Amino acid sequence: MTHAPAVRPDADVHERLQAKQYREALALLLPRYRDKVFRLCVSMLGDRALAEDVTQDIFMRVWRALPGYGAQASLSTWIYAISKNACLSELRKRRPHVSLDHNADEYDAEIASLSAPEQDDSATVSVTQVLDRLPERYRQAVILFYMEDKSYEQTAESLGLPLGTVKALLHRARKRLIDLTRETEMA
Amino acid sequence: MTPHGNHPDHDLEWHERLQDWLDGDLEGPERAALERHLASCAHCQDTLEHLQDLDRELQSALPKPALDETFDARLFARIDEIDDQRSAARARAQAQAESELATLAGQWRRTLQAVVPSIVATVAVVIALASSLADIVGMPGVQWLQALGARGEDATGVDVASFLPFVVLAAFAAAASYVVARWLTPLAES
Repeated sequence: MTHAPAVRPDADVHERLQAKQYREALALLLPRYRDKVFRLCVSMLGDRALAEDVTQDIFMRVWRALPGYGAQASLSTWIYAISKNACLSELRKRRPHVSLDHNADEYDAEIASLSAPEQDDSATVSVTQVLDRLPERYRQAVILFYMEDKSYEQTAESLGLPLGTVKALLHRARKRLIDLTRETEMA
Repeated sequence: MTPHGNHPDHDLEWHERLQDWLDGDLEGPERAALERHLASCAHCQDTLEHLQDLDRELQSALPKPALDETFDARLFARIDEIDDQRSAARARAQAQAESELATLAGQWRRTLQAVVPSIVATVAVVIALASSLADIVGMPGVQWLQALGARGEDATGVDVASFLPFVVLAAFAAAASYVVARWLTPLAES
């Protein structure tokens, strides 16, 4: 039985990088990663317009960093790491002034409230209403999972988490969402 | 129907597997066991219904956002702008380096023009002074120069001492040229 040789992911991009053709390398990787990076930004920042600006900044960073990319990590891992750092730094910039004794949970709630929709008094409970009441990492995993065509693998890769961790996060998030929906409907 | 109700151990045991079943990740005996349990457990049927509703709602509430078509063009426009700025900066740096190199070459040329006459002047002055002093003091260096002059007369039949006024004149001319060159150089650079 013969096995086809394993094709290195993004082999064509690596070829361009070796030839120092950075613009061509960027043109190849852009259609593969732009929407995935954008969705990660939307899931982390909760604001589409801001996510679009940050996505452009991310690819500018990628372009500037391409000459120094050493292929120690896969291209996708490297791009997602840049993306996550850019989103975290954007969130830090938008972080309201807090005193030193402010704890992390309060900060998470403040970040979540940046994208929280207005409360309404209608009897129907929308899933997006309760989604914003989830802890940040659950919310991110849920948003990304559904944006990524319900792919556990892609969600895990984008978040830089093991597959099992993402499954567990999503399981807890769903359970919390169901509980929150029931609570809100009964209230 | 089994009376499992809201028992935490029951939820822990079955709920994760319910999602795996929905995702199509359960196979063989595990799948059969879950389906048997599901047929007899009202609580799991209710949870399954909630999970399916949640899945549908989330899918409709969270459509896959995509960047608009102009994204690539706008990104490459920004890159081109930076490339242009870099090219302009490179051209400026190159022009500045070339200009500095030309200035340096000019300085070297002017320095050499000053150094050569000064060396000539120094050597000529030393020879002239030494020869002139030969008759006045009997210094060993002067005696050597006299001997050199005597050998010159022996070899060529020319009296070296008769050239001394010319040598002295040349020396003073070289010295004068050195002074003038030193004076002109800052003027040329300004």
